[in-house]
Amino acid sequence: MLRTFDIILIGLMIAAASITYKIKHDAEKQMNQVTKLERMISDEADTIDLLKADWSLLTQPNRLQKLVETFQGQLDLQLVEANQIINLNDLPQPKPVVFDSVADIITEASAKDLKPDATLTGSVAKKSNTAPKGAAQ
Amino acid sequence: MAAVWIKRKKNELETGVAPAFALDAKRKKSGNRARNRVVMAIACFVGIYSVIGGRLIYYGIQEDTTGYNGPTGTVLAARPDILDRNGEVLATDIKTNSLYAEPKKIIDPDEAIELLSTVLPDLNFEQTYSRLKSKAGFAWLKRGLTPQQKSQIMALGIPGIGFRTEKARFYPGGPTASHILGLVNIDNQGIAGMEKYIDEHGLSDLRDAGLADSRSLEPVKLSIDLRVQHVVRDVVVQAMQKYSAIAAGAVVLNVKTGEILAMASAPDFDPNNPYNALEKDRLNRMSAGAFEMGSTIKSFTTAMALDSGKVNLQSTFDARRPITIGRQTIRDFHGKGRVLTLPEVFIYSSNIGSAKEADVVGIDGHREFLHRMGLLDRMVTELPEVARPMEPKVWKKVHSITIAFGHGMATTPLQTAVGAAALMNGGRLMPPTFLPRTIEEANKVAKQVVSEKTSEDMRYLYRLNAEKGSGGSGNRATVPGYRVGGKTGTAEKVINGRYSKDVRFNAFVAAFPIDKPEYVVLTIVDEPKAEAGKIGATAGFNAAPMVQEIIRRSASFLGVQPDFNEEQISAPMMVNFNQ
Repeated sequence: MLRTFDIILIGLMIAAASITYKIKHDAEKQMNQVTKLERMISDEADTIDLLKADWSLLTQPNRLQKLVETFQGQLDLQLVEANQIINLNDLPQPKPVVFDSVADIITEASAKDLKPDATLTGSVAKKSNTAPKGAAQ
Repeated sequence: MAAVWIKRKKNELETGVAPAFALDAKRKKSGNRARNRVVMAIACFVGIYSVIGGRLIYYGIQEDTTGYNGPTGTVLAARPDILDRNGEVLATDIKTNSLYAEPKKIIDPDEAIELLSTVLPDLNFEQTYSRLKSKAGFAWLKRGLTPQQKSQIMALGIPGIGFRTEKARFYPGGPTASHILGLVNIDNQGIAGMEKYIDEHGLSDLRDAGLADSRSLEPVKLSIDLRVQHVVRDVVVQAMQKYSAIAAGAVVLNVKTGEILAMASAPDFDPNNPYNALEKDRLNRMSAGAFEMGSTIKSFTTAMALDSGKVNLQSTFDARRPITIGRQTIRDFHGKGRVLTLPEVFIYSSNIGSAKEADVVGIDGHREFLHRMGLLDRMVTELPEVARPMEPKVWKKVHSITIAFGHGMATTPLQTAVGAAALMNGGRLMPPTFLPRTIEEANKVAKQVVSEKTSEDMRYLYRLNAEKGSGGSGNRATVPGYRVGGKTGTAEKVINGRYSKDVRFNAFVAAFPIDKPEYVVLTIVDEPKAEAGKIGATAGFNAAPMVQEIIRRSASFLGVQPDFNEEQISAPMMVNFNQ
């Protein structure tokens, strides 16, 4: 009885030892993998840094200006003058043809049923009041 | 019950019935020696194992800290990237590979060189050959290789050569922003400019604590706009050549926040190869050079007179006769020989009129005002290279008179621009900064130095000067659509203790758009000559066109909308100005 118990214990011990060894071995393998990946990541990060520096070197206004001067014959680039820059609001409005017809339908329809709103007339009247003032300035 | 059990056991022991206690009997025979030995052995083992265990724990803790920080060499060298306000890289750390050889281990130098030159065509053949032939243990072959070159050389499979990674500071723009960025030394420590500022504000402490890891350092963002900076430097360098000047410089300053958008001073240096950076001639003239700023100072004289409340835009000053004080006689360059109104004094740049303006507030008032404008105190900003302005120790009448038109005191061009910004933005003086700053932050540090009204008058005078300024000097700075206003300054330089007639220091300070100023541009040219084919080397001929060029090329980058509707000047109040 004692002997069987001993054998079981010895077996357990060997099993525990081998499992521990295996876990340790696997962990080491994983660690190696991790360090390898880490090294690769830092290599990539270094390359990214280098490429960023390269990119900023290639997009230096200094360099671009020299390129423009060199290839002026083909490119024919000119400086933007102040009068070439305008706001979106300064663009002439295209004639709202389609919109107009829809608006007409709506006004026609509403004219039948409703009288113009009080605030609407108020705002329109105000607008026409301020317009000449602005023009005078 | 228990007593009975104990008694029975005792009996058994005494009679020797229980065989399990034979050992006990033996022990009794040999006394307590065996037990002592066992205890000693146990103590020994416990002692040994506890020492081993303790050491293991100790090493365990040790390894933990060293393993976390990585090799110390790279920690020492790491610096944060420096970016411009739009995130463009101004300075960065790059790892370069340097190729070295161990000549002792090289079998065939000829073959090695032949193979190497397929990857590195510009390799110095003779030098490399003699290095490889020598029996030295170590020799550098080529530094600063790209990763592609490295892998190509590795693929060649030459024995006896190897690589070392080195960390180097790299400035993609080269000299573009050299004076702002500054320099690092061989240990990657900042020794000038913003690099030094970064070191002084935390980086060196982080390094000492071993926490300055290259991946964890946040990039530092500056207020500089790389595009504007390029334009400014380009204009400055061209101007220096065009006017054969010994130096030139310019600064673009945000009026509302005090941020410096661009600043350049020529001659400058390449921070990637700073062999000449410490030459005296290459200092940053904008902040580290103090000059007599000449007539640009008249802006402050006029603002002072207006701010005192004793004069207004209609006041007149008698400029008919030169002022004689002691041995000196003050004359006008564009003399009109009549009574001038205050705007006329400003636009004709009358020295006599300016002296009379200063007279309104008195000598002490004059001095106090210039100190208030920060023109006579050492400027506080991030750049370490800042010159201390010079003023007379004791102000006398003559000093007040000459300083009224910009002679007799020296200040830095950057300070003058900052002062001018205060005159433009409604009277708020704010220290200039190279780091991003919002309007709210700027208003917190700002100091009201002149009234809103004075500022409004000054804006009008600047615009007026650009339109009809002295000899048309200002209008060479105007850019259609951008409403530029400004003041020229032509100072005579002191040569051998006397003011020279034809050696000059020119400046132009401008603000745009002048109806609602957003930026101040200040240019300087040191000892310019007349441009080829033209006459005249006063500020109107060189400093003013520089401002024009800078504004024309950079206004759209600065986000200033061109407006052609407000070209005509309107006086802030009724002015008798019919000339």
